[in-house]
Amino acid sequence: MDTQALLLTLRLAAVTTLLLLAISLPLARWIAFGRSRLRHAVEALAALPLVLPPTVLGFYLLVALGPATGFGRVVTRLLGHPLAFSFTGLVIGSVIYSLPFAVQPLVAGFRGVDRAYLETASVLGASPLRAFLRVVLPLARPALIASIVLSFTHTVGEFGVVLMLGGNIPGATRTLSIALYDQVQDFNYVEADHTALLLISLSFLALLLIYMRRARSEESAGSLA
Amino acid sequence: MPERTTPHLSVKLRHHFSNLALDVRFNLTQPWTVLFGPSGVGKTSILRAIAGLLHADESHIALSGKVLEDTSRKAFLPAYQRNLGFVTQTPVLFPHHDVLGSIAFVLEQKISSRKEIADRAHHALKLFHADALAAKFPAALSGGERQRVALARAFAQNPSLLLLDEPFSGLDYTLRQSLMDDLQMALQQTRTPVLSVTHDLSEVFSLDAEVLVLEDGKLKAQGRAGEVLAEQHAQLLHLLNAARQNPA
Repeated sequence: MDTQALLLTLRLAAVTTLLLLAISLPLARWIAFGRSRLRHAVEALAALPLVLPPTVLGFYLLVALGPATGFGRVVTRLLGHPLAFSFTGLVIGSVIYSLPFAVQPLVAGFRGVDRAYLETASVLGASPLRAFLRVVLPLARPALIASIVLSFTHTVGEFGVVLMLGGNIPGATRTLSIALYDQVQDFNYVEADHTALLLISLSFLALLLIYMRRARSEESAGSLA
Repeated sequence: MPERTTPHLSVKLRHHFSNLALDVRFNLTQPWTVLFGPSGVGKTSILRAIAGLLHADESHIALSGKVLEDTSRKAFLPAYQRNLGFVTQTPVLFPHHDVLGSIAFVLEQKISSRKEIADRAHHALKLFHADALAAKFPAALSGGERQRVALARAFAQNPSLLLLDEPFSGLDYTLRQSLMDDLQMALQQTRTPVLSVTHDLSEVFSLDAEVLVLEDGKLKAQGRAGEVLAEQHAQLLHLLNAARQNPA
């Protein structure tokens, strides 16, 4: 089994999930509670990777990060190498690609918090930020867990973006899904079977975690009335 | 016994709902004022506007010289900066906080000492005989217990004005009396002024309060219950007498 590909995949998923969490929490809060009209446009934009073929995203990122754009040239000069075909490039691609899976559960979770709780927190003297941290986040904990697990598993399972953007460099961009593709191309069906089974197990365990947590929080959820 | 303070609250409100045009103007002149009227005349909306939860079309609200909102100057102090207590008909307690935690939520914003927070929370709970509930979560509380906690939490805020939106209406008579006694005692101890809402005529007459009579979004009268509600009072007495003569 390709242990190097496994470790790389887990590292990519972990880094991506952490970055997504940092981006999605404020973004989802703004989409759920903001008043700006722009927020619908941003919500649609953040959902775009859901419907786009990953190769489209990979292609544009490849171009944007490469020497054809000013941004790509500046980054290449700063790093000493182009972002495409590097681990960092993959992280950027993965963050964009998995953004909807991080943002959408959070937005739904935040919107699901009864307004009466927010009003009460405000009357009790809590600033919007304090109300968010102390009331909204704890009440939306199942959504937070779903967001984290989905970000992680979706990154583990991504293929198109990685293929376009990362190529197939062992230890840098060769993830499990790429390794699987490679093994099939080489008619190495035994190895391919192991890799595929590993990917299925990872995803299944992650989803199992979400559904177990959800069942438990539904049992203990306090009602308003 | 110390005299309760009279709040200097002045309210001018205009707001169009789909089914009601609210247009009121009043000043509070007594420690306790009751907004009286049938359901749907805008009583709750007035409280929500004062609390900062409703953005009225036109408003000017000032409390003790401080302008809470003034639409003509586009001034609006958000609810969390008004320091008003607001106890609603259905108490809203955070399901993830135990009773002590829900009161600490208020106190933490002003006090850093954990011991002092616990002391003051227990003190507030004792006002409403809810001290024994400190470690319970809302899901394990009865309706009356939740209301005790909500009242204790409002007093822990040390609010400049307490807004009461029929907090006892869902409770049975004995419980209501007991909570009302606790409330009166707490009000006397803390000298907190009150603006409350009711559609219950007998409650209006049982309180030593000034009455604002509301009808279809407009203020009809302001004064002592016996004066502004003389007609309703006579009807009530008539009903009571009839009931006494023909006990069911």
